[in-house]
Amino acid sequence: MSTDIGKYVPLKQVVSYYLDEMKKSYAEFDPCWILAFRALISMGFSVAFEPKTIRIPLNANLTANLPADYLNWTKIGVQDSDGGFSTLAINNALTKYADNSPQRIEKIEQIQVNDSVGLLSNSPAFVNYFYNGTYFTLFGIGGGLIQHGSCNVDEVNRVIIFPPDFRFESVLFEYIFSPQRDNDYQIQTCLQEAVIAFIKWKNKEGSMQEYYAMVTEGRRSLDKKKVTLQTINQVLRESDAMKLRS
Amino acid sequence: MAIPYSKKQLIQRIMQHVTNGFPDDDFSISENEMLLYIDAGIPYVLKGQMFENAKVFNVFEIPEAYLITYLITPLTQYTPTNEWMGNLPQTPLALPTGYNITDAYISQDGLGRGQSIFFTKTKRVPYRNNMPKPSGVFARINGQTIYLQSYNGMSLLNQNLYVEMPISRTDDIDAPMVLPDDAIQALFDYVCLKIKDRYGMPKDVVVDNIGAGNKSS
Repeated sequence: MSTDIGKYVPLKQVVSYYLDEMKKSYAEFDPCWILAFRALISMGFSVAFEPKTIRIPLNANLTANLPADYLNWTKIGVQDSDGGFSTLAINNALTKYADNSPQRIEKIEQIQVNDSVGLLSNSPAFVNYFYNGTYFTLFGIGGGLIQHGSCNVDEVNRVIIFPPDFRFESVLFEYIFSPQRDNDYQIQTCLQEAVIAFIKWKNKEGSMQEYYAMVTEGRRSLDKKKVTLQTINQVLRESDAMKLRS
Repeated sequence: MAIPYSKKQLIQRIMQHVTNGFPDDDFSISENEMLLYIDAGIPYVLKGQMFENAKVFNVFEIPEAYLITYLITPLTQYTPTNEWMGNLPQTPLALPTGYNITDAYISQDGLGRGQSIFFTKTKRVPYRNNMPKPSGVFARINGQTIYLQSYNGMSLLNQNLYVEMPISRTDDIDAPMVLPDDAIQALFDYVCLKIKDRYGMPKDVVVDNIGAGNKSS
């Protein structure tokens, strides 16, 4: 069964909608396509781009190369036995010194100060309140996250960096990627009116306010923003717990 | 089938009108000279009709009656820039881009028409390559020459280029004019006006009470 409405729509189709609406000549197509492309970029970084997940093997110097189409990361972690994505802690203190050097580990270990906390440094898992082979929460204090290590991202050198005690050979990496053209670039159909509003704004036929209104309108229909009874039910179940109530 | 009108017929009509009959040997305007007036008059009339139509729909459009689609072949490669070039049937009229050539596409027999070509205004050519391009063929116009280049540099060898454009010229003086009937009268008036200027038509003196013969005052 064919249909004219898909989840994604090519920019050429959106531009054609605009030209038809405004009764413009085909000579306007190319300048308007560029505007549509700029709208794709603008909305892509805020709402439209969808992440994908890959597994990246670690280099010998405990770094992992960012993929060529990388734009922005959303999750870095390892996979647990149930297929779950277990995120790593982001360690902003991890130095980016010598990130591209094969001798990175030797170089960053040379200048370490004595900050060992005994058991923690021997454990592959980074855990809060870990003591004597187990962990527990302290009343009144957040439980913290059980995480399997830490990392940081060196955007300039395009690598993910890990501390010397990182024990895994690869990491899962979820990231926003640069879209590739498949004959044409595509955007979610629910955002096509926002693209048209962007073109009108830049052609002095609309306003910035109208564009942002259309982005907001379209964003409500995106998958990740969609509210269903099923998800509400799940939130209610997960938030219902044995706990102190005020 | 409607009777086709040629420029030859229009010239004949204008001559008869101007000379109030059939032109004699004293009529010094040649057919070729009158043809120039007609070729110049067609765009003049066309633009007037475009603006007239714009009053109805508030949109600037070429009336379809002026349009003809030409097959431009063969395309040859312009080696300095690796573009492909072809010769248009005439220098496009000085209308805005998209109106001087209303459509162009590449087509192969049996495969159907291809996607329309993107025309790049000359002032955009120097910086157009700095921006991403939609898939397709781009074109720019220099006088009567059209330069083509695919967005990915693909060869256009042996491709058939079809160009749809309003024209003012015809292959010869007997070829049918591509002109709507409601433009013929305006064109006729335009050419007659120019001919009268050019010919220096003697006018009857309509001031009465002046005797015939040479005047001394």
